[in-house]
Amino acid sequence: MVVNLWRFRGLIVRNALHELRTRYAGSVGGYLWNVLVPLAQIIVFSTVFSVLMRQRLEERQIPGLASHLAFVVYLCSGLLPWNAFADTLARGVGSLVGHAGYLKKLPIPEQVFVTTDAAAGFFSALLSMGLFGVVAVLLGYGPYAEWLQALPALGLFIAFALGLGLLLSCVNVFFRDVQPLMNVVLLLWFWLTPVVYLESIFDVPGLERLRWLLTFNPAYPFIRCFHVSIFEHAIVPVGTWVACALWTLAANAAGYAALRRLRGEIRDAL
Amino acid sequence: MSEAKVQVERLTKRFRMYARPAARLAEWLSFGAVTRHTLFTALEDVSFSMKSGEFFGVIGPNGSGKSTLLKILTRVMFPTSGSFRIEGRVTSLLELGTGFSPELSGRANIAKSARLLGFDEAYVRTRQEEMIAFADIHAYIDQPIKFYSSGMLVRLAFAIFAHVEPDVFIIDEALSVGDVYFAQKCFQRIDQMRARGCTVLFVSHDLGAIRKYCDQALYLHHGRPRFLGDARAATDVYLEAMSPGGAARNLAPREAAADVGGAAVAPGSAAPGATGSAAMLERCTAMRSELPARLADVFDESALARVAAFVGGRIGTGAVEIVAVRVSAADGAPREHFGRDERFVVDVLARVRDNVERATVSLQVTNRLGVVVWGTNQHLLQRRTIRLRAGTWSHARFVVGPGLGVDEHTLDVGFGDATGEGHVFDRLTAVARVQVLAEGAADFVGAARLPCECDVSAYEPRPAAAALSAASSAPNR
Repeated sequence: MVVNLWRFRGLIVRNALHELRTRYAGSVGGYLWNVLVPLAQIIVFSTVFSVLMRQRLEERQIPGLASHLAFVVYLCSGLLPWNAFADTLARGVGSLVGHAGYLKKLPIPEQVFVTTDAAAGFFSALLSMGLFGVVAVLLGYGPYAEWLQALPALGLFIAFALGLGLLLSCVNVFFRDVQPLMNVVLLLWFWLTPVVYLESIFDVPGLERLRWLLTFNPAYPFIRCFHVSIFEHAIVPVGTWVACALWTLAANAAGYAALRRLRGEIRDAL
Repeated sequence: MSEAKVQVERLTKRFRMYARPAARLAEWLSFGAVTRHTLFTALEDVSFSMKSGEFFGVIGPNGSGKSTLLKILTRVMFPTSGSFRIEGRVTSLLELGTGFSPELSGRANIAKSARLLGFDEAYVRTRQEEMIAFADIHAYIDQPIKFYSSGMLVRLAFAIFAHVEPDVFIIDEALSVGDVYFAQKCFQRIDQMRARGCTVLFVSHDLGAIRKYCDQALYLHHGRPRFLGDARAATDVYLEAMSPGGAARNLAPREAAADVGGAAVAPGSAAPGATGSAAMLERCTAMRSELPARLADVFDESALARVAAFVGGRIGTGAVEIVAVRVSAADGAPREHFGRDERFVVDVLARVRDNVERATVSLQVTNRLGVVVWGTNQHLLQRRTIRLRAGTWSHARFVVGPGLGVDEHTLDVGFGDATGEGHVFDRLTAVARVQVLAEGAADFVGAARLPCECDVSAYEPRPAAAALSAASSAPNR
């Protein structure tokens, strides 16, 4: 199955880039929207949360950076990868149904389409995180060699989304409920993951009993990678990498198992 | 090159049909303990093999499983059971232009199609100029294809598929979109490919093309193989079964007799809907026994069944009621396909309910495009009308042609009032079919033959003018 992906690599990369180019086709902003949307999101979140969260952040001063800017760095280092993850997953779930026209006529393996969406998500995240890096340096933060760890972390995170997306897109062919359901789950998942708030929120009396949620949150080790490498510019512990790799492996194993089980019927049901 | 390039064994495809998505959920959640689906068999027990360089045809009415078979062979669908083996690379015109993006240029679309088909782009690039030359769209190749005509699109698509050197090439109806010259070019190209060992699977409603090009053919009916063998024999069986009386005829014990010289296929498979038509057939048999002996000789059950089972357009007062229509060859054999140089005979039988002083019977031929090619009536032909007495039978016979062009035609027959008031007593639209195949000598092209004479004369130029101009040599009459 992976051999098939290699055979269609040209298609995957070209279509992913094409997708980014045409996502905002017909708009005046065009390509710029790939940057403007996350930027606007960051501004809103940082404005809201730097007011609410200032107290906590002062414990974690970044030398030479105003504390509200420190929060923006924290926010971006988690939010941008999360956006890429959520976007990839949401698109991945609808991928097979969305490409029914191709699937019904061409012998292209199913996973090619989900992988194309993942590749588009990866490229888009590279773009926004690169931009974020430039802005951070301009603001006087970094650059640090530890930031480079974000690259493999992003790769793993997107690959995790790909595995989940493959699994759910197969099911979505038969039950179209999966797609709307996934949007709800993603929203809940987002607020259960320390992206816009600090992990230290679980130190607050009363909330500490919820800390176990992090242990079972597959997205947590990934987000942790980004926080450590970008915000703390420290070395990501091996245990975190292992957790990420395991989740990625498990998701892809489940995805391919589902595809293997269902592929006989997928094109019939489309 | 081995013997069999394509080997298909007992291929069966059944679709699971669920009344509601929830029914499927129930099955999933019970891990298969409950069954909530019904099976629809699209293809059943199909086996055949194709040799290297062979041209193999697949025919059958709509819904007979042709597309399902092609989808399985191109690996777009997975069979429920059975297996197939294809040596080498398969490309299919089934996906003709599927991956085309309207905004991209012809050249960019060639590259994109190559990617979609899983071909190496560099390899396709080396063949690109050949493709463009074949498609004959040099001037437009760098324009977005949204400006292309549909003919140009088909040419481009065919050019791509024909130049990636497949080992097995699957062509479906799509090829009939282009103009006739391009179609000829395509078949020439296919011949070249065959010479190099490419095997061709051709699915078409164009029985003429099947007969002309195919070595062997498979006739599918409701997913089952009805006939496998010589292409000409396969089309004959198909044409006979497709005639409206054919299905009824096939119920008779002689159904299996159709398998002349072909490999044995699904023995004893009765035509579908057999229970429904059996009762009707019985009625027709009863009706036939009421007919005067001479009429019973002409009109068999199928001719009666054709009208009894007719569900198409029918108007009229009913003063005269058409009960049977039969199409046959000049020798009396029931047949609906003819060569260009053959006559065909249409017999119409009507029961007269009321006395009619001046009646006429009409016949009209309409081609596939819905154009009335020709029509006449007994009044026009003989300049007299007929008088019908209540309680009698009226039998009209038209002997037509030759002169119809190559096409599929439908026949309208009717009894009407010839007094000028124009009452229609009974008129059946498209009650029978006449197909003219591209066989036999013909002195015309087009929809129909017209009486024509043509003289050609040669003239010498005037001695003085000869030196000045050779162009004035045209005859001047």
